[in-house]
Amino acid sequence: MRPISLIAGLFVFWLVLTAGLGGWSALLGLFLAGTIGLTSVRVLARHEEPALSAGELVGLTLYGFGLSALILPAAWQVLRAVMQRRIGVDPIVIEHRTALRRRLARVALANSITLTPGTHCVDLDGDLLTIHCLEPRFAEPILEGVLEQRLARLLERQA
Amino acid sequence: MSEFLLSVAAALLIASGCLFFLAGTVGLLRLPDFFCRLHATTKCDAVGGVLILLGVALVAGADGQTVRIVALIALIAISSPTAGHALARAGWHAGHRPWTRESGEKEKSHEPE
Repeated sequence: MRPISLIAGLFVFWLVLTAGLGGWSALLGLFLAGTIGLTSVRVLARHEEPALSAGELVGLTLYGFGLSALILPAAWQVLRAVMQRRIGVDPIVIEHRTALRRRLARVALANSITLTPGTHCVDLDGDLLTIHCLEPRFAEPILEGVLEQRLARLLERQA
Repeated sequence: MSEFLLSVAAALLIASGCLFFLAGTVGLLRLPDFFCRLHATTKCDAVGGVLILLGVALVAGADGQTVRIVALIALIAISSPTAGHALARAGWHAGHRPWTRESGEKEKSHEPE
């Protein structure tokens, strides 16, 4: 069932973008959606199934919307740093061990960190996150675990 | 009048998007190493793209084009941090070590005058 729903989702996305281009385009979309869907399922099947309840899916979507508001200050920080006469960065790399247990929650945390101002997740190995920060002060919210607590409330209540 | 305001808002969004794209490109050229440059490309280019698309959506009005633009915005929002993370991870595992202010100053002191 999972590959079919993935292929259907990809095909609908293709149709949204290419509506009005005719039958050949739709056929090409079906072929591409099938190829990408089957390949993805084969690769992802090596790991645990990221099973999400309907409530978690809604919560994660809302969390994503909330997080997207962070990307503007993040881009602004970079803009300020690169437009200064003397480059205003003092980068450090930190390692942070997360208390999150689900792979899905850890991946969500890694992507959240990348969207947070001044930080970029470099590696995720088990529960260990390696994070590149443009300045040491940007590491503080991560070490305080603000995003982590939100994700734990959202995805690990029953785990 | 409302059409004029919409046009102004769209122009502001598109101009801001271009500014962020410019910052991403300047960052790519000026920042000292691979990881710092990723901050510029991942964040500034994503924000630049989204702002330009929002401006275009305002000009297009509420029709089928807007749905496509929203789909494109969603695609950028999902794929940009994921691609940035994949690049950073590949660089990290390939042995790239991040530039620090200390290492930069050491390199400068070893440069012949």
